[in-house]
Amino acid sequence: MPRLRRLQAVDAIEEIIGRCVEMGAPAWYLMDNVSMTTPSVLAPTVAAFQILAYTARIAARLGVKFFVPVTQGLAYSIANDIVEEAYKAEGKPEDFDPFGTVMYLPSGADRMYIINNMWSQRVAGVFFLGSWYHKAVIFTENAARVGALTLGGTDTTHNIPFLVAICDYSIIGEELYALGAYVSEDPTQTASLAGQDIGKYIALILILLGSILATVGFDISGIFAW
Amino acid sequence: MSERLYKIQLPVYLTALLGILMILEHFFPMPGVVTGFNTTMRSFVTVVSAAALMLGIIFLTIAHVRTISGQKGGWYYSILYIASLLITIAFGLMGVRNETFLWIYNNMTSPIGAALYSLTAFYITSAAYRVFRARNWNAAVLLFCGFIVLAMLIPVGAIILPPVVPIGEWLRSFPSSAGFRGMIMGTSLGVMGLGVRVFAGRQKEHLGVREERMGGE
Amino acid sequence: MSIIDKLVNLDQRIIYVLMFIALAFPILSPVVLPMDIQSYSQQAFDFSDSIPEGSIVIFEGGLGAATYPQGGPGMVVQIYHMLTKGVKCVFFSIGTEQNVWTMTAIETALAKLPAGTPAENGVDWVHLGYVGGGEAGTGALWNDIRATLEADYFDTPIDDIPLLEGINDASAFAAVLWWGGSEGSMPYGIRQISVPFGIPITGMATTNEVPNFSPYISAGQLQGIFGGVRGSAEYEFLMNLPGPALGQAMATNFGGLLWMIMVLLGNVLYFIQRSRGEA
Repeated sequence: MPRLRRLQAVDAIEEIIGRCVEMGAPAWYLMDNVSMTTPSVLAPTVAAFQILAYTARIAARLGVKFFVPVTQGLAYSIANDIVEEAYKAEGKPEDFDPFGTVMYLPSGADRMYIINNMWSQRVAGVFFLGSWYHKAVIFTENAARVGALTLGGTDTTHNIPFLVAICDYSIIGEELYALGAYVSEDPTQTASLAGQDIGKYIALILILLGSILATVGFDISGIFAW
Repeated sequence: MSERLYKIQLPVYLTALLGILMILEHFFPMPGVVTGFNTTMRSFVTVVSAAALMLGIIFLTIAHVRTISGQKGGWYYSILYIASLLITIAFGLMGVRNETFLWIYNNMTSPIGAALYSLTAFYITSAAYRVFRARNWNAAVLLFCGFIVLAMLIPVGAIILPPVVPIGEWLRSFPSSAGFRGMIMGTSLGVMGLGVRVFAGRQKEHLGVREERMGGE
Repeated sequence: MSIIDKLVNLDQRIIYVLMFIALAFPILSPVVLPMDIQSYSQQAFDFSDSIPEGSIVIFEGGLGAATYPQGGPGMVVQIYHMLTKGVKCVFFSIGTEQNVWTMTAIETALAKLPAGTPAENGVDWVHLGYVGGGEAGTGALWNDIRATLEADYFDTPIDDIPLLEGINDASAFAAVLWWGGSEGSMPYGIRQISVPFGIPITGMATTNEVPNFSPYISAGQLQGIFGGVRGSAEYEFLMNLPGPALGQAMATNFGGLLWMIMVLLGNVLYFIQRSRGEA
C-alpha cells in the first residue's frame, strides 16, 4: 500500500464528532447539490457518500445524534442505506431513526429548515462535503455563527474560497476524492491516489514543455491537428 | 440468487458496462446501435429521477404526517406543507400547462426560489465582516486581491478607482486563472480516479453499500 | 464590553438590515450611477454583433428560477439582438426547470421586438426543449439531432420544422450562445460543440462562476462572457435597451460598496484590538 501523507481532515472528522459528544449536541452532514443524474455533480456526491460512511460509523460508535439532509430522491435512498448500515455495523440499529436521521428536503425548502434548525438544535459540528454551490456561504456562515466546528470541502472551484475562509477545517478540490479513498484503507483505492499523483506529474511536465516550446515560437497546435 | 450477487455484484457490472459505453461514445464515433442504446439509457435516467422524486416526496410526507400526529414543534407548518402539496399536485395533474399550475409556479415557487437565492448576499457580507481580516501576510494578500476584484466588478468601482480595472483584470486573467487551471486538472484526475475505482467495483458507496475490507479483497 | 468589542461582535441581523437597505433603496428609488463596460462583456458583445445576418446559432438556455433574475434580462436582450439582426436561433436546455425559463425569455424577447421583425416559430427560431444527459446529451444532440429528439418543445416533429430542414448536426451553425447561469455547463458547449465543429462560443454565467471560465477566455476558446447581473446590465446598456438588469446593477453598486465598508471596518477594528493586545 503506497504511503500517503495523513490528511488533516481525517483528524478533523474525529475532532468534530468528539466535540459533539462533549457538548451533547448533534452533528450534521450536508452535501448540498446531490443530483445523481448530472455527471459534474455525481462524482463529488459519490465521494461525499464515501466520507459519509466513515463519519456515520464514528458518530454511531460515539453515540452522537447524526442528521443528514438530502435534496434529491435517489441520493436520499442511497444516503439512507449508507447511514443505516453504519449504525448496524456499530451494533446500534435502534439509534437510527428511519425518518429523522436522513431526511429528504426538496432543494429550496432546505435552506430555511437548515438555518432555523441549526440554531434551535445548537449543532456542535457540521460537515459540508460534496458539490457545493451558492448555499455554501449561507450554511457555513450560519454554522459558524451558531458556534459549530466545521469541515468543508468541495470540488466546485469557485466555492472553495468560501469554504476555506469560513470553515474551521477544509479540504480542497481533489482532496475530497482522496479523503474517501484514504479512510477506506483499501490498497486499491489508496493506490489509485498514487496513480493520480503520477497523472499530475505528467501534466506538470507537459505544461513546462509546452511553455518552453511556445516561448521559443514552436507551433504546438500542429502536433494535435489530425 | 445470493443477496450479494443482486445487491452488489450485478449493479457493479452494470455500472462498469454502461459507464464504459458512455465514455466510448464520448470520445469515439460509435455505431448507431450503441448510440441508440446510450440515448435510451439516458432517457431512463430522466424516468428514474422522476421516480426517485416521488420516493423523496413520499418520505417527506410521512415525516410531516408524523410531526402532525405527534403534535411536534411547528406541526401547523406540516399541515401547510401537505395542503400545498395536494393543491399543486391536483392542478399539475390537470396539465403541466394548466393556468393555475403555472400561476403557482410563476408567482409563488419561482419568486420564493429567487428570494432564497438572494440570501447569499446577506450571509456573504456577514461572513466577510467576521472572517475577511488581515491576520497574517497570506490573509492580507487575499484581502487586497479580493478588494481589487470586487471594486472592478461593481459597476461604479472603475469610475471611483480607475486603476482597479487593469490590476483586477491582470489578477483575474493570470494568477487566478493559473490557480483555477491547476485545480481543474487536479479535480479532473480525482474524478478519473473515482471513476476507475467505481468501475473496478472497489468503491460501492453509490450503491448504498460499504463493505469492510477483507484481507486481500 | 467596550464599543470596539460590541462592533467586532456585531449582531449579524444589523448587517442584514444594512444590506437590505443598500440593495432595496436603488430599486425603490432609482439611482443611475455611471458604469464601465468590462472587457469580457465587450468581447462577448462584439462577437455577438459580428455574427452575420442569415446565420443560425445554437442557444442553450440554462437559467432557472434562482438565476433568471441575474441572467434573464441579458438573455432577453441577446435573443432580441439576434432576431433583429436576422440571425436565427435554435434553443435547447439541459435542465427541466431551465427549459421552461428559456421559453419565458423567448416570449419576453418576442414581445419587445419592433413591429415587422421576422420572428416566426419554426422559421426564425425553434425551441428544441429539454435534452437529458448533461454533457453526453449535448454531444448526442449536436452530432445527430434526429436520433436524439423526435419533436420540439411544442411537440412539432423535427422533420416538420422548416428551420431544421437539411440540418442534423452542429456543422450548419455559425455560433453557440451558452446562457448557462449557475449550471457550470459552459465547458459542455466548448467540448461537445465548439471544439469538434470549430464553432465559436460565448455566453453567460453567474458572477461567482466567471473566474472559472477565465482560462477558456485566455485560451481563446470562449469569446468573452456576460457575468451575472452586471453582464446583463452591460448588454442592456450596449444595446440601448434599459431593463431590469440595469436597476439591479445599481443595487449591486450599493451592496458592493457596503460590503467593502464592512470589510474595511472589520479590519480597522481588528487592528485596534491587536494594538491593545486583545486579538
